[in-house]
Amino acid sequence: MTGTSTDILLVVVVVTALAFDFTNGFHDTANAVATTISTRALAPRVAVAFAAILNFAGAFISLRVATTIAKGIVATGQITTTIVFAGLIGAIAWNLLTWYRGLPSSSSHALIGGLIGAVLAAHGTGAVQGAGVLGKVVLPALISPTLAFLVAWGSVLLAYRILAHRHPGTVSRGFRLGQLLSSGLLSLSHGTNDGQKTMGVITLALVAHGSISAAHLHVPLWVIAAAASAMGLGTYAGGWRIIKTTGMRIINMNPAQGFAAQGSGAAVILAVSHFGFPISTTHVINGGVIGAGAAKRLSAVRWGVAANIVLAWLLTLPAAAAAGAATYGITRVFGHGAAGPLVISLAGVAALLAAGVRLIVQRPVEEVAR
Amino acid sequence: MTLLATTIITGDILAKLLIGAFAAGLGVALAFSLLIYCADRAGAFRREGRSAAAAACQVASAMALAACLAIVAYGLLLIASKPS
Repeated sequence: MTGTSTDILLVVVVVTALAFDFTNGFHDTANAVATTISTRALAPRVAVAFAAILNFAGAFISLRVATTIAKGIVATGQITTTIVFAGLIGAIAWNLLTWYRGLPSSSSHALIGGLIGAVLAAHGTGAVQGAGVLGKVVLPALISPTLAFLVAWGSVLLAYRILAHRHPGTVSRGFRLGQLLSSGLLSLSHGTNDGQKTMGVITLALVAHGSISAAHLHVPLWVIAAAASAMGLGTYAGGWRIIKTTGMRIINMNPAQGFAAQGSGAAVILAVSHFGFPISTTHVINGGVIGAGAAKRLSAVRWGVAANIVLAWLLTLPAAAAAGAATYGITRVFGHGAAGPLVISLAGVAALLAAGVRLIVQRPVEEVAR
Repeated sequence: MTLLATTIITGDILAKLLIGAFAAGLGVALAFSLLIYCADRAGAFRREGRSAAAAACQVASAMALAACLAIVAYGLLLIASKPS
């Protein structure tokens, strides 16, 4: 590739990574604010602004950026800038599709799926490490929502038991205040986790380009600021369709259930992360919401909605992989240079504009507030 | 498949994970519920003119609040020291 071609490819990958970060932000806003909005602990716009600020701040708190993306899952030595681009496009496509359907799915799994698909298309099955997929994706995806379900279920029963004869108004006010703390913790945690992914992607692209020496790997300040801003702006845009699903469609939530779902979610995320397992905030929070509903009575949960969510979780990895592989295949039609990624990016932007991307930012605020 | 899974997450780690998550999750719910309970009881006692009982409940609610804040502070510490 010529110098100009690699420069263009770098710019395309950086912009695509920031676009993924934005979709990650608005897709995962629901994790931190859905229950807060649903129980009216905060007004919708205030809740997303609160989450956006803490997501932004969270990206600066921990700068231990993953130096490799999907480490232990795919052979990282074989990841090229074009593969990263294809993986990002696969993840963005799945994030947008699930957002449109109002389904809370994992952005991290979408990114891993996209990368797996692109690597498969480029190097075949030998480049994917089955044990890594099982240990870092499948098992945590099974364990974390189940654990969050059980902890939230126990938390609601405990709260109901202790506060059975207390004044309902005081109890609701108390739990609404508590939700501010749990929502804040979740937002900060999300910022540190998910902001790092984009920083890692951009840093890798910079290393591949030669802008940063692999021997003296560091994350430039502009990368941190750009990733934090994209995440914060995405969070502020608010994935209202998903907020509605998590906060209102799975169960009719009261403040005690909202606090239990968020509090147990935060506890599970921190406990599981402490043992080094990568988990999805989305899986944990939705598992917690279902558990908090089931604690009241099993029929309080809309199991059809819950089943659709679980189906989306199951499909995330293969669907994002298929999109990543297809994207990689299309880039190869245009050769090894920047032409393929550039054409796909422009086509993607045109498609988004045609689909009316403004829907993401504006319309359903009133619907949620109603 | 089972062999593969057991080499990744051993029973020991899984047990620690369960205990950690349950202790933290139920601990938060317990501390916060007690905080609300004690604050509400303190108000009720005050209205009844039982100032000693109200003061005791206020102390208990302050302790529950301290426990909640300690859990949040520990959570922040874990977030800041997250492994790469």
